[in-house]
Amino acid sequence: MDKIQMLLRQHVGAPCAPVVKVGDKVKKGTLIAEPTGLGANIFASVYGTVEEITEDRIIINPDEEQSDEYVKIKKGTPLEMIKEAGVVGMGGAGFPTAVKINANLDHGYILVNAAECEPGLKHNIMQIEKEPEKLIAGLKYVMEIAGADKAIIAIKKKNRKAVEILDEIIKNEPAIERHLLPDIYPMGEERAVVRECLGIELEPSQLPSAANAVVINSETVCRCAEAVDEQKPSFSKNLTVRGQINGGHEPHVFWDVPVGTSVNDLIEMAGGLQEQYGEIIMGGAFTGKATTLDAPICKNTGALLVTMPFMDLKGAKMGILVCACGGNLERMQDIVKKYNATETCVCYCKQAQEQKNGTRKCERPGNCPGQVKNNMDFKKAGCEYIIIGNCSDCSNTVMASGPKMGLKVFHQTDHACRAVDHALYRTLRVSKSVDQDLNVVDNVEAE
Amino acid sequence: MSITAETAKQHANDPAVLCCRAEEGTVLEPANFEDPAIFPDLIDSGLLNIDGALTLGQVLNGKTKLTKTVDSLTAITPAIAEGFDAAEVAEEEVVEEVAEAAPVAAAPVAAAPAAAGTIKLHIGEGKDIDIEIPAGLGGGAVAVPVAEAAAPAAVAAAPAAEVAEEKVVRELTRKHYNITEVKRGPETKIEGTVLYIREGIEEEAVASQDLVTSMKIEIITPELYHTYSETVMDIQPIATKEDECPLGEGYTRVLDGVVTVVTGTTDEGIQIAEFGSSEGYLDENMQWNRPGAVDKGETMIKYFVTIKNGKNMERPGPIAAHSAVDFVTAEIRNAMKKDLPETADSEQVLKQVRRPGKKKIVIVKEIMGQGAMHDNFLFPSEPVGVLGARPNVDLGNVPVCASPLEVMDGCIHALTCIGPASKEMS
Repeated sequence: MDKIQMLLRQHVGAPCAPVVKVGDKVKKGTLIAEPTGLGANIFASVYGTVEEITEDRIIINPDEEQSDEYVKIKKGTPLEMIKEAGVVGMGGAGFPTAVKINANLDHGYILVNAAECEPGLKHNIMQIEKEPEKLIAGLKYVMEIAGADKAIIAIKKKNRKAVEILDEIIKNEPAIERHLLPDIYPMGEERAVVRECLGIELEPSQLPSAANAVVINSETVCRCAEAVDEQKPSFSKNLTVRGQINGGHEPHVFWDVPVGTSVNDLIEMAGGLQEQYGEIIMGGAFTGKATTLDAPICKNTGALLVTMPFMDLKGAKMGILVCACGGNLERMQDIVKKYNATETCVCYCKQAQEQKNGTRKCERPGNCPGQVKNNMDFKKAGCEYIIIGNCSDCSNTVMASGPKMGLKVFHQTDHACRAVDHALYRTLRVSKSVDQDLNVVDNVEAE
Repeated sequence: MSITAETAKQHANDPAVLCCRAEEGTVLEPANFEDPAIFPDLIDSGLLNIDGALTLGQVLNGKTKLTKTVDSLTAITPAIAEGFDAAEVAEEEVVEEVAEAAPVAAAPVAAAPAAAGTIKLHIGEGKDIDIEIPAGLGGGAVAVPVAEAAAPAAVAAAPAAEVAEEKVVRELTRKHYNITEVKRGPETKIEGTVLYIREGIEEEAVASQDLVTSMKIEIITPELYHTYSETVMDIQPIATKEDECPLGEGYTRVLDGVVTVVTGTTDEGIQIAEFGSSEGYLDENMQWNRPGAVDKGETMIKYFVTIKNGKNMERPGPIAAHSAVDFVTAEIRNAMKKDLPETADSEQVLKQVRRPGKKKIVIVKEIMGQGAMHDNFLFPSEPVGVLGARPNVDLGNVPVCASPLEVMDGCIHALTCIGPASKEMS
């Protein structure tokens, strides 16, 4: 087993400050770093010895013997315990949960994000199937803390088994409903969840609180339940490991992986890298980034995807269409390089609005504003290929004119989708709306 | 790329082509459509076929639905849509004929209430302009007394209507008083045809506004027109209401032969509204005798206001300059109420008349409402005053109905940024 590396910044906000020193013995659940501003406590995820403390991480040498016991957090109100446990958003963003749910809603909504929208991921839905009681218990705490009257669990209709389990458990919960989502990207985007569940279209700069709601990932809700009911600090993560791994493309879902475990250890646990692969993505195919074998996972890491090898385009001219749904320009440029293409032209989706912090957010997630103008620009710039990071609907629009103009279209997620046996994002063949009755068959094709 | 409602209006007669995939049952809106500006390229490259396409004007009626799920760059044809406007085609042809017959005519073509409870105005002048106003807002719409002559080429036959009695809705009497000289004196008053402005009033005006640091009053008589001036922020008539009657009604006392000219810079000399500012010699810059400008021969009371550095492009700065000037004008208004005789040198009676059976005319005037100097104060309690007024930007730039008499009585106090050359003064 590799050393455990606890990054000091695993959340939105400032890095934490270490509260242990080199040589200290730590247990599972020992507080090792505290927030310096917006942030969340960080706990050791193993029994071991602090070996090194650098600017951005604490390195722990784990003991041979590992017990399941952990140091419990002290009792308090549910909000105090969730804060103490250092829970952050597990869907990827990593926003400190105690800050988010301390929302003072006025008879508002908790929207549980169980969209699991990134291609090939399974751990969220599997958890709902496995421990729905934990989700409901956590949800009740979150509702109480946030002052919400109602909760809506947003889940894709394709997950029939999970939906049936949910329907059964919320049968006697008048305050909790479920909302079925179509199987298109990006239904899990925060504002898309608000729009789908409540019918309110938020501006990119607005938070769900503007719609009197809090959007929270389903695993995060379960971690809240663990913090309150089991006094458990947040030091473990569920994730999906999938792709070019010995044994095939099936998903490997790992439960309660100690935070700080190396990518290498997880891939070895799954079966080991196949000889031929392209890159390893930490996070989803759309929003994740390339990582290395020695990197550690964080509290908000949802997936490790080992992709197909990249084609060699031998320096062909490639245009980049940057979208808020996929990678930023830097990530797209990284992929263009890996395809051995020459970056020739950069366009932005019309709706990918730049935010104050430099990131981009979509004005109307999942509803295309038209792309033919960009395609014409790519054509004029002499591109042979284009690579796009768009959502299902926008990719469809690109496909309506791109190939006819002689542009060869790649999607940012292609090499990952091929490795997780997910359909490529090209032409859209499913409806953007689904009937809320589970038994009504929409024109949705199976994944 | 999807288009906005404004672009859709401009292209009402262009083919309606979807920018993106749209599903059966979708009620079409501007965001569904591709910008017609790029169609020629698309047609050239074989990407687009617009045979049999309906126009944007036909399908953007709020009720056109797709009967089939179709992909982007599909032209909307009757085969895949329902609820579109067939009538628009005919109207379009009529308009084209009119345009050919009388290309210069700027005439309201039709003002018929449309089905959905809106008043739809169609104005054909080579380019099409469509205006829709919720019916409720049109309730106060009134005929402008002088505007009848402006519609000589009314094409559509007026509906035969019974000739009924004309009715005067409102009346405004302007009492004009000549001023031949403006002087400084121990108190603000009017004696005969001489207006005195109190000496030292500048300090009080400055003290009334936090952001104003100094004020200088210059009396510019015609001999002094070749005077350098900082940027002209506004030119205002000097008028006051009699007996507290509201703007647009009753009696208004107006001083003839004298106007207020507001100018200003920051402390360090940057023009307020350095954005096409109009500093320079007054006689070289002034477009004399135009609406909103000074008439040749008038005496100007020119205020040079300085405001704190950095405030020239922020909303409170220009407003403070205007408010400081109004501090002085308010004192002149009080003198007008007190010192002027009941009988004026001349009187002008303006009537707003409703003529049943005749066409109703609404004049739509765009005014600025961005805040700062790109704004207007609406409905002050005194003509072109500050007190009681609402900045247009604070009203949310919504349509505001004013009676023609209110407009003529100074209900719009302009905070415009540039000289009378291109933007309007009060």
